[in-house]
Amino acid sequence: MVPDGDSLSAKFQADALSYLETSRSSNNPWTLVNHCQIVKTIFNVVRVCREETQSGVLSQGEELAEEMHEEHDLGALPCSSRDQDVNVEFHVIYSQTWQVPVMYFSAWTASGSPLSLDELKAVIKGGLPEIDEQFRTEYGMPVVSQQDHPVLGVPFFTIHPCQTAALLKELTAKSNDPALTPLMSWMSVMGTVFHPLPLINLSYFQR
Amino acid sequence: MSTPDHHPILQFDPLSSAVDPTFWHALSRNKIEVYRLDDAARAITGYYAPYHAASGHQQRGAVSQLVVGAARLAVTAQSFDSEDDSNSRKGMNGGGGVVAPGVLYNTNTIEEFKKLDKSAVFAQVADRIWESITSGAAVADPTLLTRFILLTFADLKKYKFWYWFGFPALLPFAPVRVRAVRPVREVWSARQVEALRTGVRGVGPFFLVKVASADDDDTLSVRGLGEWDEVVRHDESGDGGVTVGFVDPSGQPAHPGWPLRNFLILLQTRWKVDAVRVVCYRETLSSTTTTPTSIVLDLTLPTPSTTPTTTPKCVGWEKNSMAKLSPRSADLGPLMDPRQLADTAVDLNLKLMRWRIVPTLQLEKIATTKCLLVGSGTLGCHVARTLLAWGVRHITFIDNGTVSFSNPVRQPLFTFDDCLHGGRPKAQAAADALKRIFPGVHATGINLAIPMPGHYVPSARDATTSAVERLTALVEMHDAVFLLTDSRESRWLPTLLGKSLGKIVINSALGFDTFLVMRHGMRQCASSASSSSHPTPTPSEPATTTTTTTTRTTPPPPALGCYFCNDVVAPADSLSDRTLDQQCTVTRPGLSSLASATAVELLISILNHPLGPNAAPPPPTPTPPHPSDPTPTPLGLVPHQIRGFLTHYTHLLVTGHAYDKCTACSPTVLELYAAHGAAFVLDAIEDPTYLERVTGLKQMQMATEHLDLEWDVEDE
Ligand SMILES: [Zn+2]
Repeated sequence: MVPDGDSLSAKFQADALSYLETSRSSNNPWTLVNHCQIVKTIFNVVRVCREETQSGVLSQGEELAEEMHEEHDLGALPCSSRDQDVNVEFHVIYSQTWQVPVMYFSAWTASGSPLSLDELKAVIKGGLPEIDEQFRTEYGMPVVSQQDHPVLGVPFFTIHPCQTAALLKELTAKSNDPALTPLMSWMSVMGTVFHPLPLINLSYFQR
Repeated sequence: MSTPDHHPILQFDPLSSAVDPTFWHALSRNKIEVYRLDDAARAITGYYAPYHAASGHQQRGAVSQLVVGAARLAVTAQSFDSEDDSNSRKGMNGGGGVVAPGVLYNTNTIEEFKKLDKSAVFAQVADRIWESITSGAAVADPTLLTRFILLTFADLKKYKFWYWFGFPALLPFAPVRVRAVRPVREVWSARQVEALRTGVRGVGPFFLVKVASADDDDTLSVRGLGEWDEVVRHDESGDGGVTVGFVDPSGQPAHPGWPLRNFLILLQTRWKVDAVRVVCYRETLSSTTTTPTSIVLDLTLPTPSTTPTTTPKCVGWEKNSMAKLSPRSADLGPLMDPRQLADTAVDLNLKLMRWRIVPTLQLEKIATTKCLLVGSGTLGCHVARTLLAWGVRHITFIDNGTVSFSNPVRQPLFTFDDCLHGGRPKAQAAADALKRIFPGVHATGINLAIPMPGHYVPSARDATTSAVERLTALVEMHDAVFLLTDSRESRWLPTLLGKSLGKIVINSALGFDTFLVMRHGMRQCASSASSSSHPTPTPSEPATTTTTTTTRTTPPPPALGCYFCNDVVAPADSLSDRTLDQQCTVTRPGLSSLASATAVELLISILNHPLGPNAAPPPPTPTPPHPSDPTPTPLGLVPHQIRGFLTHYTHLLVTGHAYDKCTACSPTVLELYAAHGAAFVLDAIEDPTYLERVTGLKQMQMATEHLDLEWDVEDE
């Protein structure tokens, strides 16, 4: 008996709600956007160097600078460079086609300029030891395509769901913890793939 | 209270704009569909939220540490939603965030963006904020205190956006002084903090706090500004001070966020407050978190003797990343430019194949291989499309024909329109079509007649010489040459040049229901036949699975032959007695795509083999190899020749060795060409027997009269 799509997404929603609860208690909250989508935003990871873009932006900005000057203001806190900010957003959306959760992600600067996949990878890579890099490859960080986000309608990177069903099956078979839903197991794999971005609280799963 | 000057001046953490990519998408759509050339000011909505300790995260090396993130005011696609939306007017949106009313000035040109009287725009908004303070409108709707400005110019052709935010803050009559800064926990009990947390959600971005005397009752309530009289006038507790609060987007441990500035002006102007306790409300995730959290400030406000009648001075243009008062820009090309999107999609799709099927797939090598297609007809069109599918980005067509009415149905890069008015030059039409299919391709069409033996035109000697030179230069600048012309003799010169210059040469020819696809043998290096000494292209990786260790000790295998190696006659004019059209229509139509696809796949197999074009063909076997037999490399065998037979739907793999009397690739020919260049080619073209004489083929012919090997499927 093949369960129909609606009951599957109902299952996703139930698992998602329990995941949100877990994520809140592990100090790493996700948000439910609608019945088939949960979202997490991570700000302020170290900015990768975008030399050509940046120098282009800056020189143009200089060009546009005018004799703008303001009143002397003692009340403004001098700010250190805040342009390090990179906004990385993760959306887990249930795919009716593949009947599995699909990870959509995107990263952009404070201006809204998107990061390329290579730039994002450089952000994610951080100072990882080799072994993690290998694990990431094994679980498919390279298996990324670009697709329109099903809700927002703008291009997002997505981890191709063709292997997710097999992965979920494997994880479910391995798990002996009834409280660990397939979604949670899969999220823990995703957390490892995107480590060290605080996608999930990994320590929670390493008990 | 009269001598507060020894207290430090309070500094406010400026807002940092955070533009969501969806904002730029929505602005572009509105510009095209709604605003068009109308550059009138538009109402938009910005969003900020209480600073969230977990949102500031930063990696330094392998260590993950919390840092204080910027105080953000965000704009998203929702920022354009109607201002009448009742939810937004209340001041709080779903996620505990706060809305700020903004005004958008989108100019039509970059010049207008530059020329826009920004001071006037800023002053206007400052006037409106001041007016909302003096009229009391800000008491009823405190979001009016956070009114902001956004100037934009959308360069929709380049997907580039110029923008500048202004967050106007009215300057106080004299600096605000801070008497104390404490974490909220040191001021209030856990119960009171919890009451604050739940209370803020229901009230709004700016609020009053009513605290019972700390000694007896442990309660706290959050009230709207409209309840000032009730909360403050009748407050009999403590020192009679005023306690207020605001939703604070800043996470600075000792500084409040920017939105407090206009609120303080409201307190001073409307209620003559000269001392106030302010709670800067920020979110904490759990009680155990030790990261920055809500703080409480005790402030002294300088109060003027009379309320000013005009708008106070005002600051708040956002600085750019260089801390200058200057616009910023965003480049949305990767998300909006169809060309960039196509580029990324094609690239990622091939990578998907690599990940799923062939982890060692040399995609980068394939993508950077420059392919020269000699012939832009049926085979050329199909080969180009298959190369494109493999991610090859540099394709050059050579042809000297024009598109005729019979072509488009068989030659998939041409359409009916290409045949009109005498027909477009084929090479150019093919290159243009390729770019329409995928703009990221670097495609060129060269209108060039290939000099051919036996096609000598005495008057065209100069033209022939320059054609030889042109073709030589073209072969030189490419990595792989496909021979796809419809005559045998037109393949002679490119064969010679490819061999001479060490290029990969793939040859494809069609019979009626048979085809031939072959790679030409590479020039043997004098020193040795070992893998390391081959010039082009360098294998990028050593073989992961060495099939045998005996290769070094055995003599090098004989070199592979070329298209002409089995010939016992020199190429000559085979075209005179039949027209081109007759010749191309005598093949089964499906044959050309089979042959072309096979030719491209052969190139890909070569590029992926650790030895590249020097890969050995499969050894001869008594029975044809079975498809389930293991192959030494992931993409499989790299045969020398593939002969396809449509009658039996089968392929035969054949290996043919180089012939030392070959008219196109023998050492004699290569040496003569090296010594005399174009002059040698002209000799060969002028005199039909020249090649046979210099190679010794003539003598051979006499010796082996009538022996016809008949291997070339294209002939007869
Ligand atoms: Zn030959």
